[in-house]
Amino acid sequence: MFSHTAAAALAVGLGLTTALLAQSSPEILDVAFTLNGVEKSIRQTETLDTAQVSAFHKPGPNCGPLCIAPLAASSAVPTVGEREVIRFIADKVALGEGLLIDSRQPEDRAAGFISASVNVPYSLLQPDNPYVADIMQALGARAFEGTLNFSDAMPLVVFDDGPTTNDASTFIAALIAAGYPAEKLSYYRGGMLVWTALGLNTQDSKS
Amino acid sequence: MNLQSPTPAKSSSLPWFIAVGSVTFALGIGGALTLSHMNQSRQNDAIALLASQLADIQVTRAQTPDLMAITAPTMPVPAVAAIPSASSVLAARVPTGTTQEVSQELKTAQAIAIANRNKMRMLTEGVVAGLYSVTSINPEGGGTRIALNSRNAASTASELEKLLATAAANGDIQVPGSISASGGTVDSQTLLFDLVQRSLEDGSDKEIAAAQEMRRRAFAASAAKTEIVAGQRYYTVEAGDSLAYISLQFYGSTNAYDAIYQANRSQVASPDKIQIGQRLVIPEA
Repeated sequence: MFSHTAAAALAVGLGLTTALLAQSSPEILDVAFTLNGVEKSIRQTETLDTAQVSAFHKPGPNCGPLCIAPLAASSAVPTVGEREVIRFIADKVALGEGLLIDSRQPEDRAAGFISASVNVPYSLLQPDNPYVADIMQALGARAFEGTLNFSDAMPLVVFDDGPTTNDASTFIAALIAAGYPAEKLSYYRGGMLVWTALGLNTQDSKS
Repeated sequence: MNLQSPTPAKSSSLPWFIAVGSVTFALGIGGALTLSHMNQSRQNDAIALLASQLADIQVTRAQTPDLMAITAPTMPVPAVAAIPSASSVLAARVPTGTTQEVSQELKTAQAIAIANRNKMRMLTEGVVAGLYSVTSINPEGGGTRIALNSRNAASTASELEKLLATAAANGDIQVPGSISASGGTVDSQTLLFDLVQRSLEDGSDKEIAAAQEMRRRAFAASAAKTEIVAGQRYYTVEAGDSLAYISLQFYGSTNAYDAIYQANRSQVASPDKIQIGQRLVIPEA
C-alpha cells in the first residue's frame, strides 16, 4: 500500500524533474517514507552544498596512482545508480524487505549519510570476527549447527564515501566469501560523493 | 529444542534401519523368487525366514519395532506410534506353519539380499567419506526440492529410492504419517535421507560426525523461505511437503518433525494432515 504511494511519488517526482527545474523550485524531488516509525524523505535540491560534497572526496594514501574504484565491485554484483537506490528505498527498505548498507567506519559516517541506511562497517566482516554469523543472521540468514542458510537473506544495496574509496567493495567481497548470494547484492558506487553532488539530502545524526 | 534424538529414540532407530533395510532385501528376494518361478510356498518360506530373523534382532535388542519410534518419551502418544513396523507388516503376510529347511533357491535369495545391504553400505560409506552433495533441484512441475547426490553410488541411491517408493506403494512398508506428503504421495527422497542419517547416527564417532555434516549440508541447501512475525518463524506448506521434509529443510534431518508437529498442534490434527498453504510455526533450533 505504502510502496504504491511512494512509487507514485517517485514516478511523479522524477517525471516532473525537468519542469520543476525550469520553475526554479528549491526542491525538485521529494520521496517520503516511514522507517521504524520515523518519517523520512529523500529530496533533491537545486543548490549544492559544495563543502559537504568535498567532505566525501577522500582519496586514501594507499590506493595507488588513481583513487578511482572499478565500475563493478564483483563480476556477479550489479552496480546501481541513484534512481535505483531511491526506488530500492521506497520499494524494499521502507517495507522492511531490504537494507541500504553504509559500509563505512562510524567516524566517516558521522560526516553525513543517506537517511534509511544502516551502518555495518566493512571491518566487522573480517573472517576473524567471531560475530560474522550473527551479522549474517541480522541480515536475514538462518543459522543451524554453525551453518548458514541464505534463502531468507535480505537484498542489500551497499555504499560508502564514493568512487574514491573501496569500503563497499571490501564489504561485498567479504559477504560473498561468507556465502551471501551475489544475486541479493547491489553496489552503489557513487556513494556519498555523488549522492551529495546531485543535491540529494543527507542526515548527519542518528534518528 | 533438542535436535539430537533422545537416548531411547536413538537406540531404537537401529531396528528401524534394519527393518527397512530388510524390507529392501525382501523385495529383492521377492523379485528373485518371481523370476525363478518359485512356488508360492517357498516365497512364503523366504519371507517367514526374514521375518523370524527380524524378530530375533528386535528381541535381542529389546527395542520397540516402530518404524518411526522417535517421539520423545514424555510426549503424549501421537498417531505415528500406531503405525505398524515394517517387520510386523511382513510378519502378517507370512502364513502360519513351520519354517522348512533352507533350499538352494533361498540361499540365492539371501545372496541378493546381502548385495542390497552392500548397496546401502556403499551409500553410507560414501557419505562418511564426503563423496556426496546436497543440492536444491527443480523437478518437473514441482517446487525446489532438496536432493542427495551420491558420487560413489549415484545409481544405488536412486535404486534404493525407487525400491522404497515401490515398497510403500505396495504396502510392504507402512510409511509414517510424517513422511506422507501434503498431496498424499510418498516422499521417497526424504525416506532415503532418513535411512542414511539413521544408519550413521547409530555408528562410530566418524559416522556420527558424518551424520552431523549431512545435517549441515541439508540445512544449507534448502531454498525454503520463511517470514518472522512477532519473533516467530513461519513457513507456508508447499505442494509435496511432508512434516519430515520440512524438518529436513530447517534442521537438516527428518527427526525434528515431532517438534514442528507439537508447535502446530492447534492446526495440525496428525503428522500426515498438513495442507498446502498452511502456515506452520518453525521452532528455533
